[in-house]
This record gives sequence, C-alpha cells and structure tokens, in this order.
Amino acid sequence: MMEDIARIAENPTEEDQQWFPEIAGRGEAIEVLKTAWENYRDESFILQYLSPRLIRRMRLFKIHDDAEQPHLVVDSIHDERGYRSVRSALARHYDVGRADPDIQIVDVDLAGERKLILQHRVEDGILLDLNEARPVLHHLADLWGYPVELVEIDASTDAVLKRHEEVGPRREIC
Amino acid sequence: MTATCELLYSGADWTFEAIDRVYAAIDEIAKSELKLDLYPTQIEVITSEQMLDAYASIGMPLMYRHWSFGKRLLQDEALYRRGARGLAYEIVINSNPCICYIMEENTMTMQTLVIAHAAFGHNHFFKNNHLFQQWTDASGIIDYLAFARRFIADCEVQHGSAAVERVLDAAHSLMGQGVHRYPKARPLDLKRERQRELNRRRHEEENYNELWRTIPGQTGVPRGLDTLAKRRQALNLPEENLLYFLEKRAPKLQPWQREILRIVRMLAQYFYPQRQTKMMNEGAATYTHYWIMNRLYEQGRITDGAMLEFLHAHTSVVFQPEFDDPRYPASTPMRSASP
Repeated sequence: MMEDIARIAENPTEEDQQWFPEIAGRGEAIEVLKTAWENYRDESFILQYLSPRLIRRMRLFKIHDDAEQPHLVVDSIHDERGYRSVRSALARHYDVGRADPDIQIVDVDLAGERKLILQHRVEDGILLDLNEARPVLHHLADLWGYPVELVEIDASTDAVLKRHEEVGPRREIC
Repeated sequence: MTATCELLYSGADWTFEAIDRVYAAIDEIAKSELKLDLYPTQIEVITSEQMLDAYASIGMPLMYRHWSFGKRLLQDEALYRRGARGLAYEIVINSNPCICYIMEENTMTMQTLVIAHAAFGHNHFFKNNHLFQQWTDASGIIDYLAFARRFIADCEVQHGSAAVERVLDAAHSLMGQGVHRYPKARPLDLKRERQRELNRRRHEEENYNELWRTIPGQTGVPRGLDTLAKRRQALNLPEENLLYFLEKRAPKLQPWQREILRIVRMLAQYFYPQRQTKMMNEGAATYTHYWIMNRLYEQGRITDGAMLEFLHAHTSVVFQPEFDDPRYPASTPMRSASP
C-alpha cells in the first residue's frame, strides 16, 4: 500500500484521480506518505487509501458467512461494484475496537450485596467463551470484593442473549 | 552524493565501527532526503539469550516481576532451541531516546537493514503518529517502568509475594479491558506518576485516624444513589475501562493494590496504539528501509552482494501468501502475516 500511495502521488491514472483527488499527481510521495503515517490507524488507513488498482492486483474478494445459511456467498469481488465493500470489510478486520469484546460496567446494586453488573454488547451473535469468561469474572470479583454479574446483550436489538451465573469473590484479596 | 562514495563495509561480519559508519550514512539520507522527524536513537547489540529475555518482558528493557513472564520465557526458549521458531532481527521501543535492540548474530547487511527499518522507520512512526502522541509518553516510559518495578518489589517485601501475585494475576486477566478507547483525560505524563503515588500515600498517612475504624459500616443505599440515573452519574457509568473503575471504586482494595491496578492499566494503555497500527507501522518502516537501502546502493556504499542479501530478506518479509495458504490459521484467512 505504501508503494501504491507513492505511485498515486507521482504517477496517477485517471481512476486514481477520481478516487484520490487530494493526493493524485501531487508529487512529493514521501510527504504524502508521512501525512498518512501521522493521521491514521490501520483501520482508517485501509478505508482511506486501499486503491481499486491494488484490490485488482491482489484479487481481493469478500465472503459473506451467515451461520444460519447452508452456503457461503461471495458477495463482492474486485470490480466497480465491489471495491468499496471489499475495502470496508478488510478495514473492519483491523479495527481493534471490534476485535475486543465491548464489555462495560453498567450498574452497582447498592441496595443489596453490592453486586457489580456488567454488560457485554454482542456483535454478530458472538458470545464470550465460557471457559475464558468464568475465570476472568472470578478475578474481577476478587478485586471488587463482592459478587459480579455479566449479561450478554445483542448490540442491535438489546435482547438478552445470555445471563452468566453470578460469581462471588473466591478469596479475600484484601 | 554520487556513485563515487566509498563502501561502508564489505563482507558479512559486523563491527561497531561499521555500524557507526552505516548509522551516519543512513542518518544523512533520512534527514536530508526523506526529512524524517526522529527521536535520538540508542542502538544496543544483544545476544539471542538477551532477545529471549526481552520477549519475556513484552519487549521492554525492564519490567516488574511476575511468574507469567518467566513462563513466557520458557516457552519461547523451548521453541527457539528446537528450531521451531526464529527470533526477531530487532526489537524497537517507543521511548525517547528510541531504543533499538539488534541481534549479535545478524550479518552486517542485516544490521544495516534493521537499523534503517527500526531506528529510522519505526522511530519516525512512533514520534509522529497521532495515536502514539496522544496515548503514550515516550520520554517517561523507561523511568515509569523502573518505578513500577521498584514499587512492586517493595510491595512484595511489605505484603508478601503471594498477595502481590494475586493482585497481578487478576489485573493481568483484565488488561484487555483496561484501556480507555476514546480520549477524554489529559495527555499522559508518566514522570508525574511516581510523585502522584507518593502524594497519595502521604495524604493517607497524614489523615489516618484510628477512630474511623470503630464506626459501624453503613447499611442501605446511600442517599442520592437510589435510582439508576443517579448512580450512573455519581459512579461515572457506564465504564468500559474495568481496571480504571476498580482502581477508583472497588470498596475493599488497599492503596498499594490500587496502585498495582494502575500500573497494569498504564501499560495496557501504552501498548494500545501499537495494536491499532501494526500494519501501518510495519508498512512505514518497510517503505523506509527499502528506500534507504536502494539509496545506499545507488550511492555505491553497499556492494552488489549486500544488495542481493538485502533483497532476499526483504522479499521474504513482504511476501503475501495466497488466501488459502496453510500457513494461515483456518479461522482468519484475511489476516496479514507478520514477519
């Protein structure tokens, strides 16, 4: 991609002019690159700079995998209609915010036993792995000193997908 | 510069003098032609044992003690001894001065390559990328690690290593949920961290009053916290940074335990930009080393043989396997392979 951006800056095609009007033909490839290095992270960088030419050269395509359906669907390829969708799908792979589960503390039950209540907002129906979640909840309860409860909620519908068994502190850390 | 320049080195073996000459030549190209903006550099030549040590402390030159680092060391060492895995050619640290470890067993050409790559490419990226500027404090990190190491060692003496280990185990398990993902607080200043910890301790000692221990615990909901909305406002909920919340709000923790949570959280935050910019950071460093090595060759400062050795190493690193290559784990066909 770095080589490709340098090419767009110094030797653009008509297609590059349309896709990257701010940098196409601007010259000074290294300055264009340095600006990109300063202002982006992996996800936004791909979203901004992955060019149709590179998508063609690497023959990128996108597979839609819905667990409910018996087939995989190749829903975008390296053509006019597919560039943007391939590009944004690839960019999302690099989004650390999506790779990490979105877990937040939402409430503390002050009336009862000071239970800490956490919510996992679930994307694409991917629940936490029970074998990993439980020991971590135990550690959390140890630090909190009182019970901890985790609820997994569908991020788009707010439906409760799973309620983890409440976990109490195993040992006094303090 | 013209093609009449003298060779910087010949043959495979490196010497400190040759590394000096190469560094100066690259420095000139980087500053006058690429106009990179760099931290001063500190290059250290290390053995494979030291490299394994560095792996074990997450690549940092010093780290507090915890059994998981030793476990990591044994795993890496076993893999390396069996020949199952090679070691990195270099490790570079986002610090000011920028510390680069390069391996003693590299050839001179590899040393040239890794200096151009790490001491110039990564260095420029660390100093200029907005995420690093916003979230990390390169000038403070080494002193902060020294403080963390001393603090945790002192805790082990005062409270026993088992008690410290319990807190660290728990904190490490929450490290992934110990970062602020969106900027809200002021920029990090790690130098002030040690002072802040001392102030906290002094305040406690000055305000300690035996009487408070005799007051019976409150029962019922504290006034003003009886609705979810009020609690959320008072406790700053929802909160995504679990370590931060525990440090500030967990009712039973001792001050030293809060400080340990804070140390683990600071490290998680320090490494967070690296996770978000792996691809770009490598891309920037690779573009930089490729540019510099070609320029050195054009200037007649490295031999044809050195150039071929470089190109071989370069293409092995940037080579992209096909999407169905068995080297990819089955579940992540789109992830790029890191060198």
